[in-house]
Amino acid sequence: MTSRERFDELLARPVSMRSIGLLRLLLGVITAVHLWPIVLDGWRGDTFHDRFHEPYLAWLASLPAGLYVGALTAALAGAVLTAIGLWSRPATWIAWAGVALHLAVSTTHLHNNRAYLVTVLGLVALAPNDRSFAMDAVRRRRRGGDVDRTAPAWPLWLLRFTCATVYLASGISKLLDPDWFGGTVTWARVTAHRADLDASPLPSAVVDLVLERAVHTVAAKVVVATEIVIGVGLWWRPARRFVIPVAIAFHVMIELSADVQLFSYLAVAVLVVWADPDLALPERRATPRAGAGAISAAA
Amino acid sequence: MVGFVAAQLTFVVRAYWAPHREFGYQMFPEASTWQADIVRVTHDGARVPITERWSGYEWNELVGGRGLASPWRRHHADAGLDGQLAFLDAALTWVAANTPNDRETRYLEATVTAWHNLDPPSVLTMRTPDRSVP
Repeated sequence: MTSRERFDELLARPVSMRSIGLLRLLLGVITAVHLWPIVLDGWRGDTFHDRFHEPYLAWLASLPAGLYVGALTAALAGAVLTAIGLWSRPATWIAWAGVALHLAVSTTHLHNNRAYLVTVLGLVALAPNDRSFAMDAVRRRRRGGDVDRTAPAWPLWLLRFTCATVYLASGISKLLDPDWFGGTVTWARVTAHRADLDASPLPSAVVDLVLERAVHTVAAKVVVATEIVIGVGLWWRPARRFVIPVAIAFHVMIELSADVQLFSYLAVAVLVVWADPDLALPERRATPRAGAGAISAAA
Repeated sequence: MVGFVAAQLTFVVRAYWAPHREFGYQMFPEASTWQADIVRVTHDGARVPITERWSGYEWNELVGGRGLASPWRRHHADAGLDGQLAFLDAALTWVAANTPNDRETRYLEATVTAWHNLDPPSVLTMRTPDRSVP
């Protein structure tokens, strides 16, 4: 078998879609939480039309406000259906289209967490995401139908690639920036908030430590190393049981120390695509797990 | 599959020179800050700060998001200085083009002071094209 054939076989190999099903559920909730305030503003008549905006596609700027709000409302409904797994695949596409539309109408709407969301949502929409943790699967079983929980592995590989890319891109950009790697960026940010720190309930010794320049010289390197270790370590199966908890702890720290919108929740949710195939997740089984052995080989 | 991977890597590399770093995932890139004094230069040559309402408009109502509100105060450029200044430049142009009740402003001009991380400040000037007022 040539390397090309081995690569094709790896992508086409049937694997369990359970992790993608669980990710779909979590993404539905995250997307609904993301869209809700935007839709609410739209219903109140507050859309991008009346404020500075810079569309990626010029014709989108002429989209009537009613049509725009209607599309986002449909996307919100799609996100709810995505979460419960009812008409999962079209619902995920509709949710994706709404998130993409909101980003496309203005550069000012784009943030890293939203870029990550629209990418992951699109990949999950491409996958057969209705086979686990979905009302669709339950309905199919009740009708006496068979639910094949497996599908070709390529969407899972693309999700894994995207997940690892986020950590590596972030880590490498900091590694290449002397100000970041040397601790200047974090130290400057912390000292800019010195008054807030002084007013906080933190003990003065902790505040002094946080404001100490030398601490940031070291801490910046720890941050860079953590991101790169996560991005690389996720690919090595034995390391995942250590790397995934580190990644979760990393996101908890970020969530506690910075305003990153939904990034922490999204990033932790996407980590499920690295789950081991024998992870014991509660799920009713109406049919034998035909793909259980296959995913072990692929994961 | 290969196309997706190539596109994603292209965006990551492109982010090193694209002002808004779309899909580049460069988190918390800078501690840079900026501040801008923006004036409306009228047809009679007066320079009126946009801290004052004009022709029924107010800067903070026209330009809200992405840290562009109250530009006369010093702000953190949370997505990087290049991106922040690109937003400001585009916002000036948008305001100049979307304030039809304003019949006295010839152009908008911003004197921007930017601090890249802890570097000494640099000062630059932005101005919109002349407005066509009926």
